[in-house]
Amino acid sequence: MHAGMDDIEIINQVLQGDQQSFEELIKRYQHFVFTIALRYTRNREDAEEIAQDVFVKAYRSLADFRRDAKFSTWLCTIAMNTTKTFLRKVKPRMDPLDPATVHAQHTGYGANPTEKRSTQLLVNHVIGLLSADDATIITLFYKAEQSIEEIGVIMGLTANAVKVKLHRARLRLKEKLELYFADEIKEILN
Amino acid sequence: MEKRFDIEKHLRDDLELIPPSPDFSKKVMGAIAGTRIAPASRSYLNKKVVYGTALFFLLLIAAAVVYALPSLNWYTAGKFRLPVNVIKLDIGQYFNRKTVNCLLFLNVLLGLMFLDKYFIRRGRAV
Repeated sequence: MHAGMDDIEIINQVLQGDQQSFEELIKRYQHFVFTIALRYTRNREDAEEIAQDVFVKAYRSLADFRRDAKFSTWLCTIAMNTTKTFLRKVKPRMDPLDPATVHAQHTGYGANPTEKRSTQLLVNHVIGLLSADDATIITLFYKAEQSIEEIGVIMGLTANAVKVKLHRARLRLKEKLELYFADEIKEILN
Repeated sequence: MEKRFDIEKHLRDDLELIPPSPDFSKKVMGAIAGTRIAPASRSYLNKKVVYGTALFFLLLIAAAVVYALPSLNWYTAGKFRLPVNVIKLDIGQYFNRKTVNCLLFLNVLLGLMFLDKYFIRRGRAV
């Protein structure tokens, strides 16, 4: 029903009283919001609670959404602020990520050779080893289709600071790959 | 030629977003079922009132400056002296028992206010 509609058209429908149309916006962006929350909390329950809160806040203040930015940028900004507020109030239930443990987990699924070789799994595992800020900046740039300037708005940074942080995040990702997954990379390349 | 692991390419192609639980959108729709969209802040924030308040304070500051300027004695500018002799300053004269008590009382008051805020925040978080 809403497949061909852009975000603004759906927002207009919601503002005119069609609450059900909001579900389409949730379906479009739930992955982004949930991933951002999960990068910081590292706990699915907390991340889902935050993501739900983000969409409720977005719905309530939808009339305040100025159309000079993308809806996704606005939503990611709410997600970032809500996550940070949550982390200030509640002690996160995450387990500290020990790189060696993660590496062991990664190599542990070597029972299935095709899985072991999967670049997708490797990349997503290494992202988990990065700090929340590094993982988020990479996710926003490569998956949430946000420009450097938009990431700056979301994270409260200047465009230059985002460029530097993104570059450093990529370097750290490369370091982790070389440090923990050198053999896997060799296998993938061969 | 040695092959290289192209991080840029793999991040674009292989990085995945993590999905929430399958019934997530239903849960959110349930949560917003009883809520209403708040009116846009631009509809109730009257810009004239905001600008009027700013103008009032600017006028107030300007009036204070205009009043103070003519009463300044510009000729003594080069012979400025502090009202107290800092070298021979008797701290005990100002930092006496009464002042210490006042400062202590102020600190206790600030401490209580801080504690109150802390407990309110903790209550909300729980």
